[in-house]
Amino acid sequence: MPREGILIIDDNVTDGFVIKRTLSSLTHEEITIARNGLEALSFFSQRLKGEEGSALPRLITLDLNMPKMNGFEVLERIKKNSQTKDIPIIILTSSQLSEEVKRSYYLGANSYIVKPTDHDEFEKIIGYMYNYWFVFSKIPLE
Amino acid sequence: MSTKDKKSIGVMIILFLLILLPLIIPSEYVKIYEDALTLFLPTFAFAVGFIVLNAYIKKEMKVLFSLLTLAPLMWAIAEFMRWIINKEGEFIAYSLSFDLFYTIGFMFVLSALIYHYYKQPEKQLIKHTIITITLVGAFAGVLAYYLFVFKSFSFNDSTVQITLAYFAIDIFILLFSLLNLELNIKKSTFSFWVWIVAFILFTIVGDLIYGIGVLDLTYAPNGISDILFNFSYGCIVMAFLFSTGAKSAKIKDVEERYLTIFNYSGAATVMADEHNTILLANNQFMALTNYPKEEIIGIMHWPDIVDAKERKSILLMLNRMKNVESTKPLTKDIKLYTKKGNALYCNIIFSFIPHTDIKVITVVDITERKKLEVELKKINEDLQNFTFTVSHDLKEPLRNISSLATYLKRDYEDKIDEMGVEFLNTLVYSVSTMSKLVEDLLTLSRIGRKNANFSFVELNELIEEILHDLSKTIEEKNVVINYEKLPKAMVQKTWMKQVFQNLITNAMKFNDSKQPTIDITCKDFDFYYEFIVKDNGIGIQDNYKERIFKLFEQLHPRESYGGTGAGLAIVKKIIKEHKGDIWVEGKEGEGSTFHFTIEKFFIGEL
Repeated sequence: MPREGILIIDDNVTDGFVIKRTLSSLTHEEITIARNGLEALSFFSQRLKGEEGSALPRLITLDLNMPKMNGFEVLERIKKNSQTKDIPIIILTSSQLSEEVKRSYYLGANSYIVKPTDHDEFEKIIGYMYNYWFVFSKIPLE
Repeated sequence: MSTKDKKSIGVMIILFLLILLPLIIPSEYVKIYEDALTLFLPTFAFAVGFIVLNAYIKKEMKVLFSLLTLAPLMWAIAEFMRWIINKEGEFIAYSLSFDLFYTIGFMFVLSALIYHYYKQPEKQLIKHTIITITLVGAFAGVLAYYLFVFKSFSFNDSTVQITLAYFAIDIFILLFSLLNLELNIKKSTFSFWVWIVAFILFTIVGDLIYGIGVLDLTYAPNGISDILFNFSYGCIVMAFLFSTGAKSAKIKDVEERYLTIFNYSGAATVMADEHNTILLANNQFMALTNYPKEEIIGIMHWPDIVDAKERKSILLMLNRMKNVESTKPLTKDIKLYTKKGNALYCNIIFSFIPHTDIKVITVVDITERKKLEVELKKINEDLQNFTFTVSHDLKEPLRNISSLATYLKRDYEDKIDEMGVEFLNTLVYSVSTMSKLVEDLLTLSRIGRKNANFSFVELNELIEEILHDLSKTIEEKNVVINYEKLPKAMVQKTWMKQVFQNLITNAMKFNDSKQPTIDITCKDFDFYYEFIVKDNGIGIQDNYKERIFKLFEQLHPRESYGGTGAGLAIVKKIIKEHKGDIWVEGKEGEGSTFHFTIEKFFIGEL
């Protein structure tokens, strides 16, 4: 299945918007936002049905504290599915509890980034993240 | 008069009656007072009487009394020999032997006195000198007596000299005894003085009669002097008995009083030796632990009833204490187990008896207090968690506001007037200030959370790390930082680093001098380290010296020095977590000196 675009899973509307806007200024990749875990899962089930022209995302940013289904559960499910487990998942969250960092990597997260309080910092960090994964690193393209 | 006094007087009366025994012997068998047998009998009776009395004497007086018993026994032997000499008529051959026994008898009296004297706990210099002189005198008397006898080989030829020597011995023994007894007795009993007066009376009268008998050989009641000497001897022994008796009774009283205090003290107390074996335990300790006396004294090792997890650290701490010269007791809260297996939280106080390995350990049950403490701790933890959660959750909307304000400014700058843009700038600035406050609040609430790992840290390495981190500022501000050899201390590394970092940063920040200088030193105390961070900065007004440690307290407007005012509150909280204290000294304009302590043997929360 082809790989295309970036999936943002974040329940915070503003944060989702900031991530999307910042990434849009850096790339032409299609950027999708899922508001919570359930939305993210339905996104995947739709894409995995293999309808004409559908593709899996190249990169996922994932918030941890979300209603309905939290980030850990989403992370676990994506990483357990043989078709989606090779998609890099970047945890992008406000929490910096060491146990959450540990649990994320244990469940297969590829990076853990703490959202800063300051907006300019936040923009910068999103820029770094994009550069790291899309410019310096190689990620699966299909 | 106590029953004990009465009893001893009774014994003495019987002894005196024994001395008078010859009086009832029919005169056809012995010539009263003239026959040596009449002198042998009372002396022997005396000796037997003392041997019998010996069985009823207290342990600590046994040696003294045995020595005093041996004297009349020797004299009885001497008198017995004299009786045989008189009967057999072989005077010369035996005279030396019976005089030898006489002398040995005196020697025993002297040994008893010397023994008694050297057992005295207190020795005053003047009395000590006088006693030594009289002692030498008494010895000289005994020696003179024997030399005269030895030289003359005859009892009659040198009777005057012998009598003088005899006098000397008596007077010196009398003096010595009096001084000796006086030392021993603070508040003499009535009986004691009765015996002393009787002793003096009998000796003087006996000596006088003996003297007259020597000078005027026709004077008949020569033997009476010997009987009087026996009496006097009996009296001095009785005086001894009463003096030591009186003192023992007093000591017993005091000892009993202390023992009562010890036993009925509300705090459980034990005394333990170097192997931690309990030597002595009071009632409260037994009541607290439920162990019977038989299972404690000389058997129980006190660490055995301490919770296994805490045992090692306590022993380690005590071991370290051994090398510390201090009389300050060490206290610790630990968990104990009673015989029934119930857990007790106790505050234990270890007192070290100087120059020994013996410890007095006081145990106070603080289970109730501990329960409240645990409750309070839980409330505190909840509060801390609340602070943590709130400050954590505040971050998200803050970031959102920051983002939205930024976008508003960026996207709509041409549609808003100058004033609007200014508002937006202020909004972004305020949000960033609030972010910093929230960030500090988060840091503060993280201190004291459970996952603190204490370990031994080389503080010099810690300082070097900080200096490396701050190297840019140090260079820019031309700061000189001096630090001596700091100890390796038990600390939570990241927190302690924050302490030094905050203090050093403050010292550099609040410093307008051309070359800011910071001196870091450490004082090593028995139970804690005191660290001193001294700078030549702007100093602190006296009335702010307490306030600076409060949260978000700033003495200077944020614009001039920056920061949120949480730094020292964070430092203080960390120090508290190390069971220490922090304070500041120095005058305004003359730099400030921060002092803080950390407990040496603190091993984190038990």
